Amino acid sequence: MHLFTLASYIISMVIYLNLTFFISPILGSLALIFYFLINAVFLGHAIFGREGPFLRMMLGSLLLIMLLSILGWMVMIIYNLDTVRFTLVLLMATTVSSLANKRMRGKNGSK
Amino acid sequence: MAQSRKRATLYIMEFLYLLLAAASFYLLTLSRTGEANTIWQNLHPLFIPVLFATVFVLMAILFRSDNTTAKLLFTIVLSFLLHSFFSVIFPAGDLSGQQMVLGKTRRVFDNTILHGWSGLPTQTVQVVIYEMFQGINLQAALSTILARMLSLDIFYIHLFLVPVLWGIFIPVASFLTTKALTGNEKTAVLASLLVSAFPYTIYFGANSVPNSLGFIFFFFSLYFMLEYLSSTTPKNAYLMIVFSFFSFLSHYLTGIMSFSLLFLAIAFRTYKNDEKLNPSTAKVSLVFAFLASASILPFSFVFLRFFGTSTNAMFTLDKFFELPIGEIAGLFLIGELTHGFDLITILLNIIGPLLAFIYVIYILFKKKHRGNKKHRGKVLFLFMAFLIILIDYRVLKLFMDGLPLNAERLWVLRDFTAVPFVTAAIYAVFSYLATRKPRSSLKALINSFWRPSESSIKGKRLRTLGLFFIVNVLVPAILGGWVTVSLTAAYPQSAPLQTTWYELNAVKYIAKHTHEKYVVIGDIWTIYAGETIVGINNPEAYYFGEFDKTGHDLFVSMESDPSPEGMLAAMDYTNTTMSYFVVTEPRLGSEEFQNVISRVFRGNELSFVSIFGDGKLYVFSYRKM
Repeated sequence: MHLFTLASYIISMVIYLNLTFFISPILGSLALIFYFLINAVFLGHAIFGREGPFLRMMLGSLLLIMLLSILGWMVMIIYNLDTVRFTLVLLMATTVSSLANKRMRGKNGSK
Repeated sequence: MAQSRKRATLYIMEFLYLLLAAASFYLLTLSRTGEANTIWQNLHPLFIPVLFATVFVLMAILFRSDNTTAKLLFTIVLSFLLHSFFSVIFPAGDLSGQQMVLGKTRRVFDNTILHGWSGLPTQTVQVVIYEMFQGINLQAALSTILARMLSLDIFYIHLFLVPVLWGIFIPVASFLTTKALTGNEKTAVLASLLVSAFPYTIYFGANSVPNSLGFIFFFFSLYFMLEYLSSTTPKNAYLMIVFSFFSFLSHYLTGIMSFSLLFLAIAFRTYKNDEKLNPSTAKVSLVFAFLASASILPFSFVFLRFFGTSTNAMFTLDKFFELPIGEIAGLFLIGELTHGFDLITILLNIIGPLLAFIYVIYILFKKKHRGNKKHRGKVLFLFMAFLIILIDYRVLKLFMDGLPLNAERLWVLRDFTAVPFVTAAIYAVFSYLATRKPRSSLKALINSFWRPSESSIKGKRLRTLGLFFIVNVLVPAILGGWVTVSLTAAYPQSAPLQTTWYELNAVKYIAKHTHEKYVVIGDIWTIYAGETIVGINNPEAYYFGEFDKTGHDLFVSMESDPSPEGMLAAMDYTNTTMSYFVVTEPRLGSEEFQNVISRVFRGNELSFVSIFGDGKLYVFSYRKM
């Protein structure tokens, strides 16, 4: 498993623990920044590999937001978005962005 | 030497910009108030001058710097600032629309509903599908996820969701679209800023409603459609479909428009392939595709009723029989602006699209611009998209009635398609002046800046003066002034009293000190405050929806006769055991407020709970025995 993918899974668990026990916005903000950094870079590389680093990051972040919202939307429509299901959404988003990065990196970014 | 001096000047300008942007944010936070009707009432007097200086310096940076990333970042900072007025100044953001959305989102956040928000009573298959795909659900899911990630209350996440996303992504979308259209990065960066010069665009970027989220996805879908026109791989086709789908998931209006333009993009590409084989058939097919794309939105409103919504949109010619010809002409030309807006507001709303229209007509019919086929195809497509939006707006405005939303929302889409043309027009004016032989002193001045090879002592002086005047004064002043003045048309100049700090405190107090199921009887303003804190129709802490007739009737009856009967009726209706009655002086008017208060105290049947806002808000309660 990719080191950053593992880090992203760990961050998801940190977010879950923070939400359950500490409820610290500072810890939450840090976790969100790292989560977005890792997964937005993955998605940016996978799909917009030929853009410059800044645009890649921006478009990767937008794709991550879309991925989180569509997974969240599906989970919410199926049942609800409580703490456990929300953590599942984070884990699923990590898995999808990691797989996308792995599979599409070679053929990415073609215009 | 000259290079290093230029770089040093640029660093100073960038530092100055960051300083001014920080000062603008600080002044905006100083303008925060708990009781105001509009943002203008309490806006710090220094804010607008400082903001103008900030935009002015940013414009100068955009014209001088070659670092696209830095320029985009600076634009994003300004974009966020321009769209955060409601969220920073008012305690609960803009009144009504976005607060209703927050009320529904809170129910998802608090896990007090399952399967997303459901507002319609009947549950047929069409209704279930409609409710699943209504924009509130996607926004609620996104807000909830971000709130849980940050361990913050949904209130703050919701207020800043769209200002932040819009602030970041709309400049990027504008940059990409303009770059795809013109192939010029400098023009594209200017477009990323000028997109904030359109009043309706600023307004929707400041409101956390599903429609705003849809506009963001629409703009990106438009970019990928442009890329798709010249692309050889399927990637852009997939991306334009994905973004159109998200545009649809976010809001019906943006989704339908995205899919209309997607259909047009596919037809346009087919036309380009068939053009050489059978030109006349290809042209006729394209015209039909254009008409079909323009028809999708108006017809979709009519068919919306089949999904169980209460909308009753229909085609009609009533307006042509009822309205005077002058008003019809006004509606056709400038739409809703014909109804009592001042000249400045009208100008600010139409100047961009008008400039775009004139410029496209010019480049499409001027022979020398026909050289670049790749860009010409994209210009044609974007112009057709622009025309479809213009036509649809007029169809909705003049030929339809009973629409579920105001047609002016299409102006945001119109402005998105106009921005690349407006920026290209501004850039073309400078290119034109730079390449023509100088005939006037102004052209000589501009020429001296653009053509440094023609150097003489006089020429050098003129060049220095020209550089200073054009790059540092003229263009930044005009464009910076445009962006700043647009704010006056974007943010309303008159509005009802926004949700006040004491209404929010009263709602929080009730929620904190009640340990059983309760219902609150209050006016619509109390309901707005209540739904931001506990959600709409929450069975544990019930506030009637803003359109709920029962809630309205109960309040009116309590106002004239504040007796336990009304409270009991509310508790029976909502299956609760505790009820509150909230009255607020600025909402009722001093006389009526005093009358209600004295009636309650005279009757001596309701318990007095507390006073908020130095006597402006009273809360009474009654418990079921």
